[in-house]
Amino acid sequence: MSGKDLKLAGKIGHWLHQFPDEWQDYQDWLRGITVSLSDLQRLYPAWQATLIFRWRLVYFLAYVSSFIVVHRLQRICINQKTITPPETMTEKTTVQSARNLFIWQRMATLLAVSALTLCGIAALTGILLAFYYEPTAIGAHYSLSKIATQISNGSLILSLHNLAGNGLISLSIVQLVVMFLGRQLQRSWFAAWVSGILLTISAMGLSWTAIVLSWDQIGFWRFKIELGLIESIPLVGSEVRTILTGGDSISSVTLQHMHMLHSYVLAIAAILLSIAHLASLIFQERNSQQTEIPLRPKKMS
Amino acid sequence: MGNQELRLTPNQEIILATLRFRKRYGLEVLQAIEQSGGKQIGFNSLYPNLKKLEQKGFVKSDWGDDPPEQHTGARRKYYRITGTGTQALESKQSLLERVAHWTLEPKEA
Repeated sequence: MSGKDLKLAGKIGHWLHQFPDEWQDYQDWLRGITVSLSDLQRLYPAWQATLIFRWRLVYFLAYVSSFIVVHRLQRICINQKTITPPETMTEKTTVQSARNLFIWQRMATLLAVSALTLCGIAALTGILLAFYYEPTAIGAHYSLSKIATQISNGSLILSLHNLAGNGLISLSIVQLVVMFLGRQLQRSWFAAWVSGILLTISAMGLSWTAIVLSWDQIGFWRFKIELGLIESIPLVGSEVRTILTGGDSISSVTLQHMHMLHSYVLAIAAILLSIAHLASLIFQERNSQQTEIPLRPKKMS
Repeated sequence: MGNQELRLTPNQEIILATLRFRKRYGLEVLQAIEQSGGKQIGFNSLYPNLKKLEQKGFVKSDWGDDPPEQHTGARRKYYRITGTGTQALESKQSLLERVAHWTLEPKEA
């Protein structure tokens, strides 16, 4: 068994040889693990010694791997920061690139501000709707009709809520396209990209969980069909369906689950993500302004 | 160097203490702690702590003359304490002394 374990340590050593810096820093740790095997075998039963030895190898591997990843990312960031326009690039193309960069970044920031505004509108109108909305099978449709017809400005609030939700989905998708198109010109956009994707997903989630909240015929049957789709997901499908519906069929419990997801989990996530998205885009603009290429196109005198 | 920069964690303190009078390699540090009945530190936290101490400038490492380990080809590194490391250790010990000798001053009536 120890021969096999030592062979495993040898493989790890061979792999770590590919990363000279990390090998320099951590090879004595690997040596320590290998050398300590004889002590472990002396002190513990064979199975326990093997277990401890393997645990040390796994820990070492995870620790060093994390450093390898971090160092690589740092190098990529440093390289990106020190990128200067090639010498062959004429002044005209540099100014053009700077102008394009400025346009893409400013557009992304403006879209993020709009997304945050829509999130705010959706949240505010959602809170107002929650005063009268009843998340029960009997009361849901009736309460929404009441909001639309009897409550002052209820119809306006409901429409604004729907509009803000749908607008958020559309804007998030446009934002992803803008960021995708500007990816070669922008630096350190990764955080904004990831938060943008998550924001789009949460906006879609908000829209999806709202399907059943109106408790009308279209919403009910659409939700039933989509639950069938969810159920067909391998391994976890039926579990997820049960969690969402809270039982075998769509009932008041389902409505309460959807209401909770819509009003608390996804709504809070969307607001936080849109703030994070905007913040990362502002940081991105600031970072770019500190680089050598001027972002804001100077006015030609 | 400020007190903040000389700060040591309990594990770092005991590791540094083993290096006070002689240079040692990783496993020897661990053995010195175990055999002296000191505070036990985990194997997995030894090398990361040695690395942190090296980054702080409290220890320096040199390659030993021992041949590379046959399975992994890894070499042995010897660690020795630096002047800053000694200063950090002394600062910690003087703090303990001060704490031990501190008494409540009588309040004026």
